Amino acid sequence: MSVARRCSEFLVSRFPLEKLSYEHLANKTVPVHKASWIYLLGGLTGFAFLVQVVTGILLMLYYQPTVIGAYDSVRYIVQYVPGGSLIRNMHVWSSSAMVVFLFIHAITNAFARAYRKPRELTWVTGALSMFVVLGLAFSGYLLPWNNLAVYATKVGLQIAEMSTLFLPGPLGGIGGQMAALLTGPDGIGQETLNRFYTLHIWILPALLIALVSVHLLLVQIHGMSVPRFAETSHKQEKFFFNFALKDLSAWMIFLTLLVILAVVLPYDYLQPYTLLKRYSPLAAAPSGIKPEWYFYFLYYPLEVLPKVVVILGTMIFFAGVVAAPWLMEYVPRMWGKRGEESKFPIVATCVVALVIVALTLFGQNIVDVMRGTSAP
Amino acid sequence: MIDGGNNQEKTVGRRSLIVYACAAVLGLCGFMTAIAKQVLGFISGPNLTSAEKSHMVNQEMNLLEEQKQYDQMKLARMNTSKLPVAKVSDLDKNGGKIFTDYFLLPAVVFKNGENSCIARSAVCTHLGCTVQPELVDGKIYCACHMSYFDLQTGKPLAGPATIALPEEPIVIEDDIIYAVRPSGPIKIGPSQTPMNPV
Ligand code: HEM
Ligand code: FES
Repeated sequence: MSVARRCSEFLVSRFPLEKLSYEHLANKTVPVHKASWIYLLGGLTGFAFLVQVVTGILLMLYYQPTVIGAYDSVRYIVQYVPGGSLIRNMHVWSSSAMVVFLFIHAITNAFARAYRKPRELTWVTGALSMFVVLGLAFSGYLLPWNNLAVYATKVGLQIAEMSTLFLPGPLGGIGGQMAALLTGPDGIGQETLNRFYTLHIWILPALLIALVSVHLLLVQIHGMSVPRFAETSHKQEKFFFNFALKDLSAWMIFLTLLVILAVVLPYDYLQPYTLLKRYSPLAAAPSGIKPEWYFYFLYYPLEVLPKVVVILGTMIFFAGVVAAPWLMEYVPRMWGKRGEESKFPIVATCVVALVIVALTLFGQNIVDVMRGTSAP
Repeated sequence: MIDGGNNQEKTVGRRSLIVYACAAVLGLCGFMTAIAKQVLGFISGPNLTSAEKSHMVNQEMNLLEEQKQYDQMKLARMNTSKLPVAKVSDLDKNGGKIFTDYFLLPAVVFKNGENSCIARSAVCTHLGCTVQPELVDGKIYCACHMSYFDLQTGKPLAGPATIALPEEPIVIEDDIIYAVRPSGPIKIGPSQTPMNPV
């Protein structure tokens, strides 16, 4: 069979568009079993994104994307604009919530092995949107233009620059060129802020919406997958409105908790004061510069292991996440088992989940232990 | 299987549907009103007192002044071969001064003995934070992840940085310290600073 033919057959079988009728949608059902709560997490991620869009648009009414104005415009929102602290903190906390939901969504789907045929592309579009979400987080972090924001960005760009240095010849410069494109021609300054702002409010959200649209289209035409333990014995419930109401109540519970959190715990309270001062090109970096917590799993290994190892490892890991539907099937075949029978997918998922959670929670401790007494 | 599901739905489904509907509707009503009120207030904006307003305008003018100085420096670096960056009399034994060099990157100048000064790039070779303008035990210190550098040679002494902070050329005339324009074309960008090898 020719390659083109195989590709088109792959696509036709993964996009059975005939299932895209009103009828099909209206009669959609969702499996009911012990683990059917996992079907709520995609929706929660999407709802958190909706919160981001709404609060983000509101913040745009006052935020000024300028080196002179950014810092004070954020202060102004928090101090003077009615409800400003609420809106800003909802935006900040909901971004973290979105990453949490996304992570649980990905991990539970990995355990449920929902990526299996014919849902490979559902997984792939999901995995790609995870990178976009991390990009959104990284670009948004710069916008308040305080010490934490600017130095975390400098460090991030420096890491991007180093990330390809080990490659041979001109390939080694790719990271530096990417960093230069993000920085702009005049070093870290107004152009950098323009670029990050454009990415944050327009390019990345548009990309995310595009990816998630395909993701949801695929979820709709393939229906929900059932984890193996429940394959033989489970019930179904209607999506409209049984499951839809579960979705809605999960969203409302999340929204309530989010508002409470945003009111009682403004995000700035968690940061040392020196990190929240306006960035000045003529001042030194304070101690305690760190990326957002969801980058810890990359950041802490970078502090103690050789950079080649971490950067290559991360690239392979990310590629592996995207390619998981195929890896989980074909890797076990190397020792003669079918993906269906092998323990490999579950073990691999466990290891990945544990490593990420451990690095996120205990990264600092691990670094301290590994450094031993090296700090002067 | 779907049929079985439908039977199920008639018995168990109905009750849970009512419970969920109530929860959702209650949540929705109370909550949406409160949020709508907040959002409306947010969009209408604050009513500032004139004291608050003038405070803000003053602050903005100070910032514009700072920006003007920065822009003047940017102009000067295009047209001159040396930039005034600090006064010797402003430095003391441990206290240096951070300035912006010809590459538009932070650099730092320290006193080096009685009458001379020494300038180095202030971009930490570890991950690019700006080093402190105060010496710690005579060493240059980056607070970001605690790297120490030798003042004379720039070599890293402790911490995660592994390569030296390069020296930057300066001249001193009267009391003024000038950064000297490096020879050759000046390319601006992150790649202009040395950093830890991978
Ligand atoms: C912004 C990001 C995302 C949004 C808004 C989103 C949304 C959704 C929604 C609403 C569903 C259907 C309900 C559910 O199963 O929870 C779904 C299903 C799914 N998602 Fe995502 N998702 C996102 C990211 C991801 C990621 C990062 C992955 C994996 C790497 C992923 C993998 C899947 C899979 C495999 C399914 C099918 C589940 C099944 O059929 O049982 N998604 N997604
Ligand atoms: S950036 Fe200076 S020690 Fe890490």
